[in-house]
Amino acid sequence: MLAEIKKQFYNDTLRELEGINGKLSAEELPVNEHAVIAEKIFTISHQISGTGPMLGFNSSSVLSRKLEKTFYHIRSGEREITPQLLWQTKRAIEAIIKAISEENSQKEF
Amino acid sequence: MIDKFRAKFVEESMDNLHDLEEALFLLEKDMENKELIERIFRAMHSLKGGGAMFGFNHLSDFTHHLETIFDWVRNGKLKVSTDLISLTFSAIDQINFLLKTGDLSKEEDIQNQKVFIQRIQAFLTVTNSPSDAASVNTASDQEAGESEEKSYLISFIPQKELLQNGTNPLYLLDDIHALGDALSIAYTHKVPSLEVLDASANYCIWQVLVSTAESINEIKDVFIFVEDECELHVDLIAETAIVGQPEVKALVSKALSSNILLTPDDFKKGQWAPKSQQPAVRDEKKKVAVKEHKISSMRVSSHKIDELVTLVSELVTIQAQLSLYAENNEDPTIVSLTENIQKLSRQLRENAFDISLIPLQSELMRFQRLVRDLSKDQNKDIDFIIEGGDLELDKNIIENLTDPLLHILRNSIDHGIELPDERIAAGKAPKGTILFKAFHSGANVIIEISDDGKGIDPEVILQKAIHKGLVEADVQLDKKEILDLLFVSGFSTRDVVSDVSGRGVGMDVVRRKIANIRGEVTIESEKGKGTLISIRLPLTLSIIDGLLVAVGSNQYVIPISAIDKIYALEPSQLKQSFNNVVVIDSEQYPYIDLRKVFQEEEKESAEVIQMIMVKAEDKITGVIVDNVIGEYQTVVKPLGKYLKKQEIISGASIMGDGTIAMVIDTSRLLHNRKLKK
Amino acid sequence: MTENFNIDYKKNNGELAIVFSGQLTISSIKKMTESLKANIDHPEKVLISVKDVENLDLTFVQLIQSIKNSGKKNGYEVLVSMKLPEDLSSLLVNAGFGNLLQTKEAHE
Repeated sequence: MLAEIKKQFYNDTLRELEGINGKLSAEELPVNEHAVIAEKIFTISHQISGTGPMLGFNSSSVLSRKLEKTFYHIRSGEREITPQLLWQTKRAIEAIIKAISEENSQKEF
Repeated sequence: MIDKFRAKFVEESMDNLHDLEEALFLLEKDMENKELIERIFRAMHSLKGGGAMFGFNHLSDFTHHLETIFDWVRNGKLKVSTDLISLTFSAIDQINFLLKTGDLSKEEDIQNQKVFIQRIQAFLTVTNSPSDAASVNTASDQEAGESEEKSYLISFIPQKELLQNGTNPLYLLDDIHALGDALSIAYTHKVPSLEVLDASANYCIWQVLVSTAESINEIKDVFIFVEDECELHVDLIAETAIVGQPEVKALVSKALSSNILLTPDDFKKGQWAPKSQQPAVRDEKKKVAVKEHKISSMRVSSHKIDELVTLVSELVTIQAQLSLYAENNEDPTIVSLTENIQKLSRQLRENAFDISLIPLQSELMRFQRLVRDLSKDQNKDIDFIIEGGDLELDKNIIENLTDPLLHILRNSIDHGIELPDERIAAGKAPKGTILFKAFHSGANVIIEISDDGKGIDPEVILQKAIHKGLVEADVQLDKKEILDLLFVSGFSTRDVVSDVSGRGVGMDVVRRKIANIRGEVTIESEKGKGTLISIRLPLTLSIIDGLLVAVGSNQYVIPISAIDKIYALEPSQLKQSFNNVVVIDSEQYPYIDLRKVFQEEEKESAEVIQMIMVKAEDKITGVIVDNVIGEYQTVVKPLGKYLKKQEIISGASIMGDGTIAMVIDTSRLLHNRKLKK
Repeated sequence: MTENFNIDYKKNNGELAIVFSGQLTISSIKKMTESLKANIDHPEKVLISVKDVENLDLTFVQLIQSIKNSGKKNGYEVLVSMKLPEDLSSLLVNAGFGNLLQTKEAHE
């Protein structure tokens, strides 16, 4: 049963991350999409850092916690979205995708 | 998706307006108060920004003009006056209107707004004082200054763990080069020789000189996701672009050959750095300010508390592993150390959980406003009474509770409380009452929402359920079972989705959301008299006392609070049973075999059958497991939406030895069984 | 799992030539390190060449640096030559490792 949850988690998360990554790859993300993408990134990183460790996704969880923290501050208005921040977010998301894929292929329950 | 954010924006803006109004009242009494002015400015600023982001263009335009006014005020270009405050008060009404209606479409409204904006602008021109021209100049000076390149020294001193979670520092350094002319110095003298190299650790330190027009924050943003794993300093070293100058190159090669890091002071001697002393001075000022205050309480971001609780939870898990190890090793020193650590971690845990409790009160404002607004909309007269608002609950529980509570309240207003004349006709007072009551009951918190409205007619519910095919036409159900149908997914008492409580979400969602925070919700109702919805919640989400059991090759945790008794039965007692009902002490109990539930193979005949008697909703049901391992205090981690399919699991827990046990949601387990029957 | 990096060793008298290629990143760095420890056995001179690189990260740069430091400590000379695709070599230069690309002498 855990293996099934894990598989579902992996597939859903990967799809979501790749979706976000695609958006961030756009030349310049229009300002009116910032709030939506910030919410999405917060949600997915919250999901990974909360659920990931239970399912053996440790390294990706650590990275996600950082994203979560940053986007928590963005949501609450304490931090602003800058092009640099989006760029680093893209780097982080790519690193998460890599980590989560590696962790998915390595560990079995 | 965007609609959800829009709604959220409106909701938050309403809160913002409330704040704004309050600040304005205070400003009227203290017109020079800078803090209040700043607060008002910021509120306008976020309304403007948010408005534009969420498609409230008229709102954004309108607040833009107000923002300008308060920008002037805070820069001393305009004085606060009673007129200005009155204007702002009426502006708040207009903002309220714009938030509710969205962009204006009626010609009349558009004209009104135009006139209003002219009033604001008039304010700006009338008070246009001579000092104004000067300030405009400074502003443009500043802008010109900002666009010029400055030079910074970045010292990036990562910890050894930097590379462990997929960070590639080469990219970060590359990104700095994208900001402007840059020169990286990599210090590799700490890399050890091959024999002792930990190949996946980081040993390098970098300093980067960069000349850029970007702000210092833009530079720091490059390192945003590694800031926990490094020491980072960004110092302004010159007001001009100096990267590439020969003196700089000389400094760099000296640093490289000596392995001594450059300091901002090294650049002071150069003629290019007239203002490099500024940051240091500012730091000192900060220190002084901190010393002057003694702080008795402080605000901490909820995120930090979440982190603390997570860390403490992890500590509890590790501590359990340590205890297990100590038990097996019989080393008296380790045993006594372990006991001390156990004590400490228990205290720490209690402390951390105590910190994460917040009073329910914090959410009650929203409920009050909801009741007031909705009852006005529907011409209903409702008294909303709150008891026990100061009760404290886990922050995460409160967060997850708000939506279900709002939904229940909407239901009460929309379907429960009647219109005044209907109430008079029914012999009731024209004013209805909704009572919100929160209180402790053992290790639980109970929240009750009751109204004296028209109640629920069980006959209507039953017919509806039959009509929808949720139950057979000839089914025999008592009243409680009928009301329970309200929580079945696919049930909705109204065909027409109402504007208020409908929205396609039913009580099934309420029950699911409450179950997610390990709560139970029940409903009682008397036709003509009213409805009572009762929610039973745990005090905290993260730790439960559980009974560890084994089924097949897996371990599960059953919350102790749900367990009545444990019996060891003879297999023959089950063989005589019929329709999954067992007789113990001449009482009949239905039972569930967890092997079947979790689709494990049939067990070969055991000598003793372990049956755990679990109570939920006043009923006791037997649950058969392979083995009872023992009591266990455990940290529960939610598995979120990945458990929707596995409804009967409410979370998972890491055992002392690192294996995983899943926590069984007993009320769902029993509930599912009932439905199948 | 098949390895996605390759290390060739050629011994010629006291001279050890090591050729790295493929994915030279953190995921295989431990295996590379083990291999090097087993194969560098008191040489007089080490010639490192890096070519046909698919990817490369800091761990590999540090590994090269570590071999150099070992050489310094144990008294053998280490020469490095790298042939990298444009993007990777610019990445190294921008990270302050430009010296590795032009190194002809052993000790920095």
